[in-house]
Amino acid sequence: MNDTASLPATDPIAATMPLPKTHPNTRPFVGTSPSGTAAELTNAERAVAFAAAVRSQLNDLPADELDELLDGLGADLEERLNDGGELGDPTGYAEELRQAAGLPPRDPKSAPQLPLRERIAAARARAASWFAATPARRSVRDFAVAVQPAWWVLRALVGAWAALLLLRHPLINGLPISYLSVAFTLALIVLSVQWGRGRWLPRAWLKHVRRVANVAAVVLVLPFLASTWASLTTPHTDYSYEEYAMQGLARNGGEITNIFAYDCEGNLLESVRLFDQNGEPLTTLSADASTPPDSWVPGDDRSYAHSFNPLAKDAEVWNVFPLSAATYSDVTGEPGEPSPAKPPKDELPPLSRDCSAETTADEAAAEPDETEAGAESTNGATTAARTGE
Amino acid sequence: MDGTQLLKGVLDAAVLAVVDREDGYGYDVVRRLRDAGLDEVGDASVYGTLRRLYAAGALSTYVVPSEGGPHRKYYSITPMGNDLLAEQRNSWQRFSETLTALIEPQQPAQAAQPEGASA
Repeated sequence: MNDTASLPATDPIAATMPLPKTHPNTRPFVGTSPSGTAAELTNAERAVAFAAAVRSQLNDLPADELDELLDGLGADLEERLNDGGELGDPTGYAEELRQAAGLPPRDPKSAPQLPLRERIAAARARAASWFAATPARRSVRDFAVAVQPAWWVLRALVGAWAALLLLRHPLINGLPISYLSVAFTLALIVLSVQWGRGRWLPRAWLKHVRRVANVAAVVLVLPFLASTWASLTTPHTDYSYEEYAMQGLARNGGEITNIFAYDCEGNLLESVRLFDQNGEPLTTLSADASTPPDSWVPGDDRSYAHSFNPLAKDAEVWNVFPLSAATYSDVTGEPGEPSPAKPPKDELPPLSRDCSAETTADEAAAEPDETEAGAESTNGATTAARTGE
Repeated sequence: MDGTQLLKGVLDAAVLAVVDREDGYGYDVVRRLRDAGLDEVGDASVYGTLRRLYAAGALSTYVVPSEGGPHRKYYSITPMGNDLLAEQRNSWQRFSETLTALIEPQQPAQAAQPEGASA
């Protein structure tokens, strides 16, 4: 700290100088500070802008002639600036270059027909010189240059987001998130940063692709930020609800795939119609499924496909239990002919000593297996039990 | 009289001579001309001259990669350039002798004339 204590005094002076003259002997001092880096960027940028302005003054020349003439000009200009020199007026510079190279003077008629590319280059040169004019503008410009890599990353995120939306990638919490999409996004970030650094552009037309992509990213950045903001501020419960909420029929989070009902005496009922507390049919079907979920029977080490209860086959209703079951064919993988499902218990001990006809509905022992349906809709279950008999 | 006006006619010779001594890239040639005392030489004039001499076959180019910067296009003199330089050296010599004699201060001559006239 003691060594550098004297340095800050020199930096403000350098920063407030109207035209930064970077003498070689001052560079060891300035080069170690952030403003020194900015000064170097300034020279490189000024050189590029000046070269572009010169080029636009000579755009009446054939392209290959122009390329030959201006090849290395940017590097020469930058070195000139680093030596503490000034560049002067690009128009006069271009005229001097043209005369010295023995090239014909500009045809006055060709002047107005500036190609779009040249007009853009000229506009950029004007903007660059405008930004270089005052220390305040220069500091704004240098700041923008410093955060440029952040833009390279952001535009890759925007591009990946837009591409994944176009490909209808499934959204999680409003964002396309998957291993594949993360890998795709990372690849795009690498590409974007490399393009930002002027790498990975083996063909000239790729620069046009880069320009178009850049403009598209600028246009899409607001929708992207708005969408991301909306997704991030939405409660996360949406996510768990949509992903993990059990579909169909469940007890304590476990899936119920079949129901076995017994009467008061403990005999299995062959067909029981079940309804919930609102009178809706109680089925094991998921909201948008057309067939009920399979049962996995650990004892048999296989799963069973379910179909209608034999008595509900004609009515084609799913709230009649137990559902019949079929094993999957080992050959075709298709479920075979359905047969009555095997209950976990063939019979139960009687519920009461007196299971006579006077048994009221309240006491009827529809003892549902693996479900809370019995507890919640006693009336429906018992009514169904009587119907089933 | 402005030095740049004088320089225009002999810039080809100056550039050829500099490149003849040692190959160089654009700004390098400018710097060496300045170091030699041609302070008023314009960068663009030198680059244009290099390009024209190259197009005329007096110079050839090759690219040298530089560390941490863009590639540099170096110029070197060709046999045709050497011939051109020799020719321009001769004509400059004749021209400078002629001009030196022409613009020599006239005091001695004026002093001699009256003597001759009186004699």
